Amino acid sequence: MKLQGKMFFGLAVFLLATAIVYGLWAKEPAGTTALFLTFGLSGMIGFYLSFTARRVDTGAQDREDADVADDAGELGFFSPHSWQPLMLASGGALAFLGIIFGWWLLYFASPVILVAIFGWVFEYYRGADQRY
Amino acid sequence: MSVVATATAVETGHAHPSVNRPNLVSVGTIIWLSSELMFFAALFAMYFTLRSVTGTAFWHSQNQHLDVPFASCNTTILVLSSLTCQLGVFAAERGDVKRLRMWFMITFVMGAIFIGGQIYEYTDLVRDDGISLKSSPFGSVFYLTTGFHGLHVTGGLIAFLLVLGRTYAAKKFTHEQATAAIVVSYYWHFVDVVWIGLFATIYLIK
Repeated sequence: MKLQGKMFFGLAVFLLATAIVYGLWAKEPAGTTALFLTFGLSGMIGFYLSFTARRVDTGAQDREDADVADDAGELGFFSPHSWQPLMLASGGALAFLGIIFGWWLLYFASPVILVAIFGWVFEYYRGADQRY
Repeated sequence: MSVVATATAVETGHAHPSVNRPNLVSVGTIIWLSSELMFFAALFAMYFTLRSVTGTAFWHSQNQHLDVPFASCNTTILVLSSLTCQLGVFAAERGDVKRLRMWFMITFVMGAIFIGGQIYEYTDLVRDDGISLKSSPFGSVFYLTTGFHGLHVTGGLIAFLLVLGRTYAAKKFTHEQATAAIVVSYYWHFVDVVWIGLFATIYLIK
């Protein structure tokens, strides 16, 4: 965690320098904005990682004498199989086709998206697979 | 003997397992939000480019129609909603589901007021000032940047509803629900910060 945080901070410093040099040199707004926000991108991840590193125990990745097996353990809950992402993707695809063929397609896409989102969010909150 | 065995079993059971890795949902949310930052980078870049290409005089002829005091009030509501959202997260971390629901409902209402204000502002600009998506480069960039932000806020409102729904659907309040509340708050704070950037750029610096 600490190490990854430092890596992203290093990247952020580099990008900040790049953004300043580019901005002063090229005097062009689009690239300067993009570079400054890329600095924000790395800084945000770096801040999150080093902030979290202080709140959790020292992980195997921050110890010199650690083995690969030391990082074993529960990662979290992962759905073994689910149709909801496919359904949401179909709804999304239909909605974006609406931009090409006409907004009326959204009328048919939005119920699909709505049902898929509800199905996905509450998949393990009801029925036979209820966990929570 | 059985008494001893029970005592041993209780001692070896990990009531609070050591936390040595961050929550994957939070990490995923942060990585995704950083990519969202790049999405808004494109919108900001578009704004700055069009402003420099069309010239200061044209830009000022257009953005004088903006109602800065009204938008400032709207901005204040959105910023304060970040505060109420965070209070909800603190409640979730304590496991206080009633307070979490209360603060998230307040946040939802404030976010909805913001969206309502934005729609009111749009109707004013279109009807009275003739600024629309295709009227001029300023109109395009104004509606695209603030509109995409508005869509993000709307997405956040839906997320608040889903988190609230989950707290009612779950049998008891667990870490999973707290995590959901926390990552939605990350998203909300992010959208709020982006709006501060947009507001400062479009309404204040002009």
